[in-house]
Amino acid sequence: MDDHTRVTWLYLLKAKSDVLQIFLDFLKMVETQYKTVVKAVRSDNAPELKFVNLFKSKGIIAYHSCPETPEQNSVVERKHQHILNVARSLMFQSRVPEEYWGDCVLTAVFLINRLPTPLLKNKSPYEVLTSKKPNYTSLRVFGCLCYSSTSSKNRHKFQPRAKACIFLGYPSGYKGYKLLDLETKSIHISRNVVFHETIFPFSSRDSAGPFSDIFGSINESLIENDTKIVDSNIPVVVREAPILSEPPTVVNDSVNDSHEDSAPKSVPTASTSRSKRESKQPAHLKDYFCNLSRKGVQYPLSDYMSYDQLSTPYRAYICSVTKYSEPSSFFQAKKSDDWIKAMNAELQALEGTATWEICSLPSNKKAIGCKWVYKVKLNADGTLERYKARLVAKGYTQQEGVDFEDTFSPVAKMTTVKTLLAVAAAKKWSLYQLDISNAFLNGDLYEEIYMNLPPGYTPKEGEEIPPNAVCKLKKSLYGLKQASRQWFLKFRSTLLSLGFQQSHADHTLFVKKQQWQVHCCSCLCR
Amino acid sequence: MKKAFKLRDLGSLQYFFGLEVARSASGISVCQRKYALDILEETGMLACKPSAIPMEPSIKLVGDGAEPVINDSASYRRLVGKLMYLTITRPEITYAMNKLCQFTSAPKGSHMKATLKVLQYIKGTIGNGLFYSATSDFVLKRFTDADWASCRDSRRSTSGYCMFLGESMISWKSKKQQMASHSSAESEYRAMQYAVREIVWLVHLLTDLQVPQHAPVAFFCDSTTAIHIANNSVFHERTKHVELDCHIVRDRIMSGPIKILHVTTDLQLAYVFTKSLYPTQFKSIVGKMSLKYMPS
Repeated sequence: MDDHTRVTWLYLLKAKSDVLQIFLDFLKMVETQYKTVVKAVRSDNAPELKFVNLFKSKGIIAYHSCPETPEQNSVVERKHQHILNVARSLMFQSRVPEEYWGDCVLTAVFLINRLPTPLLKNKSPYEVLTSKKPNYTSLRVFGCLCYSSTSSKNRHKFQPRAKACIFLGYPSGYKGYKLLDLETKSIHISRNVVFHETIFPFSSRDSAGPFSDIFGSINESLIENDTKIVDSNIPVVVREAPILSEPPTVVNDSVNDSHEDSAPKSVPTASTSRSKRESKQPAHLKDYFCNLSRKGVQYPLSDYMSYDQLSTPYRAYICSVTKYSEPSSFFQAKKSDDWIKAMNAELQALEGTATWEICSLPSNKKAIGCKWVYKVKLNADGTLERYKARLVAKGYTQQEGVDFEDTFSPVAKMTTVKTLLAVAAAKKWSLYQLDISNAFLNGDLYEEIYMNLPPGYTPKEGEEIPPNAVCKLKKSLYGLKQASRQWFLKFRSTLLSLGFQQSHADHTLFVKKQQWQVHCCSCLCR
Repeated sequence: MKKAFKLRDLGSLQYFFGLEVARSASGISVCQRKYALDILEETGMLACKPSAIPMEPSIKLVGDGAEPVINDSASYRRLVGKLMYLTITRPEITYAMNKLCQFTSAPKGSHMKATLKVLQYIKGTIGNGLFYSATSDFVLKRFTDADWASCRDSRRSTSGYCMFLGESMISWKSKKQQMASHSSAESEYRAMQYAVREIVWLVHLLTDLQVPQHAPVAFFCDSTTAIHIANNSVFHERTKHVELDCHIVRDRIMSGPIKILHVTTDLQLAYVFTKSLYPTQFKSIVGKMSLKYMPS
């Protein structure tokens, strides 16, 4: 920057080490163009700007500001601020991507050099330097849409005569404009350009806001009708069942409030072109089930699946089945209070039914492991019933002949289930689902099995656990090799005593015939 | 039962073991929409291009060959295992899965590609499932078919059958036969034998469910020769090596519980369990299978 005329030259460097060469070129340029020599250079203390040898050989005096005192270099520092201010506003107006920052800065310097300033008695730096008035007629709005004529050599008769570009500045040494081709993203220089200075292509891409794609197809009826899918053609977002009082993840106090806020009040028009910006799901959509979103997808799922044929309660059920997730390990589960509560409940239930007693492991015995398994249980209408934690023994560590003998237990065949459904449909039987709580715990255990303490087990207050403590199992526990067999034997004997008959075709099918009524029971446990 | 165990009434049947059961006045539908959706999500195929058929008929998968085994064969096994469970309500992918399962020990790139094709088909038909009509009768019908020497590696045939109770499809299978056959008629005859075993069991089961079968069960087969073999001991010269266990078909026809009828190939529903078909034929057969999109 020249102290007298305040003309600024700006060079973009690839590396800081290039600065010496650039500075030499600059000195040459000044000598040739303005028939003068640089007498003094003022800079801050940046080591790359201390060209001691060069200054000595050219007889240039170097002034440096004191350490930590940028105000001594105020002219350049202030100019730096000015350039960035202008460059920022150019960028924000045109919304060109950040990768074109260099063009913004160069254009800013070009403009500042040609703008009148009160410091120079309302003359522009350019005018003071060259004693010529700058020509303002060639100035254009940065980042605006323009059409540059395609070269007549490279086009045939039915190719477009012009292509859409963006104006990116004034190249030095050319009487033309620097343009960015919107289609190929290549930069070229052209003089045959038509400008549309009020249109900013990059800006209009974002004008609908970052959420426009998501909200594009939701309308107001979503607010009133929570579980209803809005438009059968474009079912993008399904609101989860309103009956769910608790969210499945860590309880968040603001969840209920955000239900009101999250519904969009207005529908912005979705723009047809797509922004390149990487999109994230907005935080307030976490209460929605966005599986069917058609955003940015060529073959959206909504074309092949929709819930709009389902009755409302069934849809609520299906939505909640789709939505809940379950932790897979104790370490994941212990972060959530819901699961900790569930595990405590299970431990209490197990102790309440005297499933085990705690003792030391006898020296000639081996203990088997155990782990937690987590499950979300739903009611018939899809509402959350409870978080279920189940303690299972690691049955695969059991030894045959010592810890178990027979293990076979019949499981209902899928063909049987399908046949039952087909018959039930045609005979208009009603179908019910029953769940037997802690079914396997009903089985009696005859073998002597020791199990490690469950993860997270802490004894009650005042209770001492013996050294090398294990649980001696008294009842059959989930995961034991013989658990399903013991349970099936119990189930079978109970049903037979109730008057059911075991089918010979599928041993898991039990039938009871009464007047006008047929009861079928199928055991589905694994 | 309430007295014996602590019970919880889960209401009417809606969701068990990944099967979504919906009931309306017209009948019961069973589908695995959520399960299929989960598979697609795990494999990152949610946005894939859907396909009209589960398997490309022009591609013949082989186990042997120069192609290297894929690095992550465990993932192939997992995926195929998951898709196997999906065949509970998706009979139309049964053949494809049967084929793909034969390569789990050493899966190759082409097998993985074929598995992804199945996923693409699932994506296009994600809500499909079985439909059991309320207006159906209780007559058992059976279709059997075989594809002679279809396995490129062992030259064994594939047999397939499907069984209807009235309009409802309740049982189906696609299976590589345990023995190589000399002729297509022989392989069809073997296919019948698999089906007869199943039918004997199903008649028992239906009797237990208070739906006894009075008339002989109709057996549809598109091979006239196999029908002749089943009905009479003709063609001795060409069938004398057939093991006696296959002749249970003949015994059952003699003693009455089944009868065999001829059906033309375009009405042969078991076709889809023995071959991979082109879209037009595939759609026309699957359309007859009482599969339905989830009703309200």
